[in-house]
Amino acid sequence: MSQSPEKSSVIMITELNKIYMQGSHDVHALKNVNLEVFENEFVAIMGQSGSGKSTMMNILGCLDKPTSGHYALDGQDVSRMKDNELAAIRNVKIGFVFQSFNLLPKLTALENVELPMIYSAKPRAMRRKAAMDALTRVGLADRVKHRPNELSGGQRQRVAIARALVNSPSIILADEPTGNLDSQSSAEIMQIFQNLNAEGATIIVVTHEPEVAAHTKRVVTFRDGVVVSDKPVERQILAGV
Amino acid sequence: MNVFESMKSAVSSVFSNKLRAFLTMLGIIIGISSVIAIVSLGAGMSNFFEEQWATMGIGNLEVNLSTWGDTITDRDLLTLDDVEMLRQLPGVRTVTATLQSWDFSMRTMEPGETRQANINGVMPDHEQVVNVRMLYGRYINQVDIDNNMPFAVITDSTANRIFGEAHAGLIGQTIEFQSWFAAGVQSFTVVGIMVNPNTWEDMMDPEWISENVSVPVTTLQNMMNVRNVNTLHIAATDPNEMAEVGENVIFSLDNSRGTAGNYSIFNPMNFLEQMNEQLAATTLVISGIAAISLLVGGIGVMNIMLVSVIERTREIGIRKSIGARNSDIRAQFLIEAVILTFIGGSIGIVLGIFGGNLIGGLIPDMDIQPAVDIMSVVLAVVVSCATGIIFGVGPAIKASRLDPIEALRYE
Repeated sequence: MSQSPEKSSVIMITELNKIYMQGSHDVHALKNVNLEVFENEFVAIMGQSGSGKSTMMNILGCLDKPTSGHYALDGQDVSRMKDNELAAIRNVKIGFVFQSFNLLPKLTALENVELPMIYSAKPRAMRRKAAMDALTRVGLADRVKHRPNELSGGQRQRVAIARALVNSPSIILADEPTGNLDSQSSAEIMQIFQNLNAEGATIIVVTHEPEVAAHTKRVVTFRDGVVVSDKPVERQILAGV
Repeated sequence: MNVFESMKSAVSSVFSNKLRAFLTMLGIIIGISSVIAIVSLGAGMSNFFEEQWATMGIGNLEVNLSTWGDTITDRDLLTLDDVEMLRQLPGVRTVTATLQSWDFSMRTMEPGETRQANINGVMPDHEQVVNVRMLYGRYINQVDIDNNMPFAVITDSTANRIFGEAHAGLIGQTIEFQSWFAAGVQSFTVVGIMVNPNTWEDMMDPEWISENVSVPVTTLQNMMNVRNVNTLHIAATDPNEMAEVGENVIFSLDNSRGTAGNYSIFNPMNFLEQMNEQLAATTLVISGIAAISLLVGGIGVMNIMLVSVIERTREIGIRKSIGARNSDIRAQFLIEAVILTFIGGSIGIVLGIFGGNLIGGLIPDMDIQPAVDIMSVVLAVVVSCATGIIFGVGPAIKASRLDPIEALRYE
């Protein structure tokens, strides 16, 4: 794979293995995986269930640690870090977007977006401003005081994206972000990702739907814990066009 | 997450379900309010008894003849000379003597009707010794003593019963006594009216009350044809030295007669101390029992916190995924538990103060003011918060150890 000399490697996965216990036997979820992702890439990780893509996502998101091999994020080896250090990495370097939005139901949109900054002890005024900016970026400036149950699915996902952006992470990690949305909202969300990517964000989307993958620029396919293909997207579908 | 943000978050969590919060706090509220009520009542009772004793001369030693029967000679009896002798002892502030007689009855305004009298022969210092409160006129003075004057100080209760009302116009009024052992009537002039120190008499049936009258001790000695007195009242210059002064007094008295162990001395402080100790012990025991409900309340808090942790498994997963450390999660739940118990304890303190006052007011015949001191309140707050910490730490640790991946899958 050719790379431009100015672009730096955000994610470097080398000979990574993940084995976990299920019941009485071992499951070898990831087998000697090698993967490199550069700044400003837009990558889709595809595969059926059981392919290992969810396990890969958990490791990329520092929610889980590899059994062997290495994971360097922004040049830092996070594969052997302690729980507290990983929490800090998740706070600052990773922005999660989940399939079922995962907003806190008792907080307003603004408060939800502020939450990561509360955990990094940012002062109040700074939090407010950053949260407002993020919500404006995703087009929800007029809904900041609404609770999640007062928002549509698409709007909730946009709040989740705003929350993911707010600490200026190195990567945005989206797990089936359109899985719970209708086609209209799905298109809106993919458009937002494409806009963010155009503005410089590095985005990784985990999905089993080819149409979603077609909106990205590179598709890495997993099967049975192994990378079976890693190809650029020939004709990227532009959402909202 | 800084402490302020944690507390804000904890308060809104706790109050998101007000009914559950209240039910959880109930055990703490009951426990703290009972203990506060009981302790304040105990303190109020202790104060009440001390005040009662003060009106009866708490700071004074009482010396009486302790042997009875044939072994007594006239020499052993206490006299006014002993008063003079004891006044010379070091550490002695005042010495007075009293003589009592129940042999007389007092005539009322109704012809032929009399009431039982309790005549106290006193000396001027006795006014100080038992904290006499004069309403009108004056107490017995030294001139009365030196001249055996037929003057009397009656109580306001006696004035009410005999003359219908206690008022200044009664000064100069004549009262009459008659005895069972001699014919004739003893006339006295009222020179003063004092507050009746026996406050409980107001609740009793008048038939059983005798009229308390104070007269010069020398006058009573003449009336009874005796030369002795019953009791010596001794106040020490330094109340802490009372025990030693007492020993000196006994020694002097025995010495002057060449006897030993003739005289008994009663130090009301011992009695009061004993009574206070018993009261304190009783208060402690009852408080301990009440504190059990505090234990139960704490268990209730722990129970609810565990349920809360399980209910919020997904929330914990979300928080961890956006960067909450284990310690952040632990602190969050711990603070919630402490807020529950702190608020419960505060409500308990307020209710306990009200409850104590309510019960104190319901106790018949005694005017008890429940006393709440700062220490009790501070202790109650500390205990409440400690309960929150002790019973909240388990669930908080459980919450902090949840695996984020599992937690996010939970529904």
